[in-house]
Amino acid sequence: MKRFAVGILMLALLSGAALAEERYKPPEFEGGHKLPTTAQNPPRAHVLECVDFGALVLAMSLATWLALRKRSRRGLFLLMLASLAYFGFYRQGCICPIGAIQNVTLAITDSTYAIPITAIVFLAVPLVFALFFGRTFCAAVCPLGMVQDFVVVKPIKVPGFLEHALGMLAFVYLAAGIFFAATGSAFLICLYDPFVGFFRLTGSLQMLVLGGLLLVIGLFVGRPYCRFLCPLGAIFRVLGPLSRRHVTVTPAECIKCRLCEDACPFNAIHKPTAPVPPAKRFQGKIVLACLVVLLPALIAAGGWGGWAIHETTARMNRDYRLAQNVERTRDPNLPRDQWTDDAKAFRASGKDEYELYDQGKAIRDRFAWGGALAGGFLGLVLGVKLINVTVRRTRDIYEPDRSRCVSCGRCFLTCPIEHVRRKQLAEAPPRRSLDEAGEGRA
Amino acid sequence: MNETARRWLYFPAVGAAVVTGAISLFLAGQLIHQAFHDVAADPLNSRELASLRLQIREKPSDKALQERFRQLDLQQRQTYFEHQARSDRGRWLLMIATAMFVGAVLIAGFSQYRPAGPAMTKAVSPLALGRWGRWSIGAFGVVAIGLAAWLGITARITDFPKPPPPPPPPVITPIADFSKNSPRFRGFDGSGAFDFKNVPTDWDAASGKNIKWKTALPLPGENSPVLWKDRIFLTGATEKNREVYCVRAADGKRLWTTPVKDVSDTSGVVPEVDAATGYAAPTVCVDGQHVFAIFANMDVVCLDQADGKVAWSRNVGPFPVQFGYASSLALIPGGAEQAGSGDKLLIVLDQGGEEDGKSKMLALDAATGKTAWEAKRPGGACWASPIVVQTEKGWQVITTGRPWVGGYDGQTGAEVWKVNLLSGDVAPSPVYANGLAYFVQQGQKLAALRIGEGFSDVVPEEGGKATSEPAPAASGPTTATKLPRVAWIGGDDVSSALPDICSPMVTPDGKRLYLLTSNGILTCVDAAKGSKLWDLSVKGEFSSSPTLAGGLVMITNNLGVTYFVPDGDSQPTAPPRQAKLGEGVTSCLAIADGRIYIRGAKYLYCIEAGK
Repeated sequence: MKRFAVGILMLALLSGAALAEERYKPPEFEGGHKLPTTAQNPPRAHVLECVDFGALVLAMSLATWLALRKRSRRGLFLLMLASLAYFGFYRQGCICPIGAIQNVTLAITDSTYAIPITAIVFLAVPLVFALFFGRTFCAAVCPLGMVQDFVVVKPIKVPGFLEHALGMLAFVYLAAGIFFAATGSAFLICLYDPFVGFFRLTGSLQMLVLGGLLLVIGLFVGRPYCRFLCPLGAIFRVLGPLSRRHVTVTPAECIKCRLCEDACPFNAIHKPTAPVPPAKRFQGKIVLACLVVLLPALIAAGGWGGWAIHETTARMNRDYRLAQNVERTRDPNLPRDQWTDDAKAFRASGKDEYELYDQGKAIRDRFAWGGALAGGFLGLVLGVKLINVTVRRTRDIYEPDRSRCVSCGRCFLTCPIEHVRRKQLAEAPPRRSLDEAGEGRA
Repeated sequence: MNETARRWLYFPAVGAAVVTGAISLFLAGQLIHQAFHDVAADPLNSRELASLRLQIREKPSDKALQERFRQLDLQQRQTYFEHQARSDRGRWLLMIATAMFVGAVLIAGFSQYRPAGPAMTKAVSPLALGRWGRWSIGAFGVVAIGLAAWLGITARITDFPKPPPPPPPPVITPIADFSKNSPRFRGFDGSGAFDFKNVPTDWDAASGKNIKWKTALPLPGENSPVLWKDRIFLTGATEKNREVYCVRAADGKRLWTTPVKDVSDTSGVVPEVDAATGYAAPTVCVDGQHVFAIFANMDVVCLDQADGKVAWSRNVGPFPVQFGYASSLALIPGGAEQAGSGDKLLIVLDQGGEEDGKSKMLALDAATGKTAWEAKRPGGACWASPIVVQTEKGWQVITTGRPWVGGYDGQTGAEVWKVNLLSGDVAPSPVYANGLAYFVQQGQKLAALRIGEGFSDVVPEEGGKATSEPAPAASGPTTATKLPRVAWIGGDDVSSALPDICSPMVTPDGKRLYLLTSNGILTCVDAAKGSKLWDLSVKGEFSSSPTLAGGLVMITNNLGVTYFVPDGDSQPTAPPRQAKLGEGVTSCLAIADGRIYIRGAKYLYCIEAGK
């Protein structure tokens, strides 16, 4: 019920997005109207930046303690509210570790870009925590995750194969975000941040529509952005399996009651596996060998694909678009009133168009090479994922999928062993064996 | 909450979810519709306002239009912002309805929640998991690569143009170099006089006497040979082919032949020409590096002297004129006096009737072929060649015409003066010496005009029918202290000596002017006064203009017989000496030190004494 109330409250707050600011061309004639002076917000005070840093470290530490030691879903829920209030509505979603990926990328590729230290810290802290404790940032600190966590109403199980395919989208988004940031073209991840418009009570139509759409989907598919789009989540998925410690479903021995699987709305719990006949094991090894051999080809194919779309991707760059628009004005059949505004302004400036074209070519070349790298990376991810799903792992208990588990603690609530630990149950049910698999209610 | 209460919550929650969901959908539809409408109603896209804006640009002082624009602009803005406010309200309502929908769904879900009891699930096969995973990931990869390939193939690759090659540096030919050569039609300055003393006067093509060499020219042409250092340049053309030739002066070897074709803006239309004019009547001109040629189809080409490669080419036509194009090219020298400018190629395009307004002159940048200036010319068609003379204010272009003869600033093309002087089909070119330019036309008049600034464009009473118009920029108000521009107009004593084709020749000292009629009457005129000094008659038809070198006036008839007449105030007592080429000649002679170059109907001859 509490969850329901918070959801209602939050959606009501989101309606403030309707106050989006309108900017409109002033009248062309003298009318006595004085245009307001454009003001620029001062940079955030250093002290407040330190407060942000402290809040992040504190929230991360608390989330880790609550998830790994305290095993308290209630505590995590309360921390979610606090994080949403601070990092979401007070800090208005900025700075956030997801967007900080781009700041750091741009700082690496552009020596003239002065990166705020908070951007580095906000990216580094969740990554370090993830290396040691798994995705505790997602558990109760990330405001984007919180927004979605609150609206999980009727989660449906996404089929495993679809989960694998959709999971690739996050890597595509990550590659695209880094790619466009590295080329100095756009902060794509911020541009299409689905929920920041709600936090700021303003935003572009696309932002609001995307956010609204994700929330509606989130009613039935738990945390769709976190699972299928979040670029930081993609990094976490790589770091998660490497984490030194991670939340466990049960505080002691798993009795394979399956309740945790039912409780997890994110498909993040591995089931026990059935034994594999020896003949099929060999077949699996052959497939695995083929995939390892195929890996370089996948990288090459991805690289080619990234290179092939350089003309399309380069259009994301403002200077390249200008070069294209100015080039179009060379067509004597193109009426002047069909020139774009930027092309008109450029022509009026008297600048050398050939310098612009050279710049455009250089940008396109940069996009070609950058696209090849990004595509190659995606080819590598594709290949590694193929290998990963092919590698046979035997498992005889239910355990969290360290890549996908966001440490939300829902499984704690249903685990009979956890109930025993909390003295809510006197005795745990007996452990079932895999021999009894056929008797399950699945 | 107990089980019964939960059960009772379910149906109202579902009902509320259905109602609020429907309302949300309705509101979303309305907002989308409104969004499209707002785009259409945006004053920034208003056609009415755009139309009014254009009208105001045309009539900027029309207050009524401005007021109408203001009213319409205000009205459209008000409407637009009313719609915006309505959309804002709609978004609020949508948010509330959506929140209620989510709330109802949450309640419905909550009322149906049943904690699952312990149960076993079916153990999964890791192989099956892997197989399905591979298929889905593989499908994702195939779709992604396919999408990338489709985007890559269908994208229009912007072909950014390369910067044009830097313009070649302006060509500035030293004046001294011009004067040492014969860079244009009839010598250095177009006067027909050459400053060489050593001139062969005896040759015979039949016996080969004093014929140093002769070289066949593939295509016919009426143009005259042009000399630059050790090379001779000519052109030849038929209706379909056009060529420029470079011949080595030392031995007559044709060093290169460049066909003129693929001129980018040529129309392909070759106007009809008179047989006597042909397709290559204009004589080329040269600077220190290039050769410039023009043909009857108005293709203009600039070639490198060294190898005949085309530096630039363009077409300056169409030029529909009776007989065909015949005006030779001239060069306006650049240099220090014309700061920042190189040599310019001068093309006279007098055409049409006197009142047609089609005549003009073009000056092209010699290095690039781009138009440096274009000057409108009054009057109609003319076949004469211009001359370029140096005045106190720089190079001045002087050209004859029908009826206006005029002077133009060589740097800008601005008209300096003009005099209404001639009529008929003007072919003889003007000549200049000692501050006077001479204009002549058969059946009309012979006149000498003063060149330079400060002359009054008033025709003296004794000037007969000639009239004049002052050139406002140059001549200024007429005052009694100014000399009239027209120095003299020839009287009746020279009226029968006026040529229709051959250009006059003036001695470099400006003392004597020679006129040659087509039927062979050579008349010597006092260049300062316009009175006839003497005349003589020789045999033959003449198209070639007289030439002066070594104190001899050389005239060559159409059969190739050259007559040598001593230059002087007195009539020669002895009959003129003759030399025969053996083939027809209609072009003018070109003189070098000890040599004469003559273009016959088929061959180019080099004549040198003792060969």
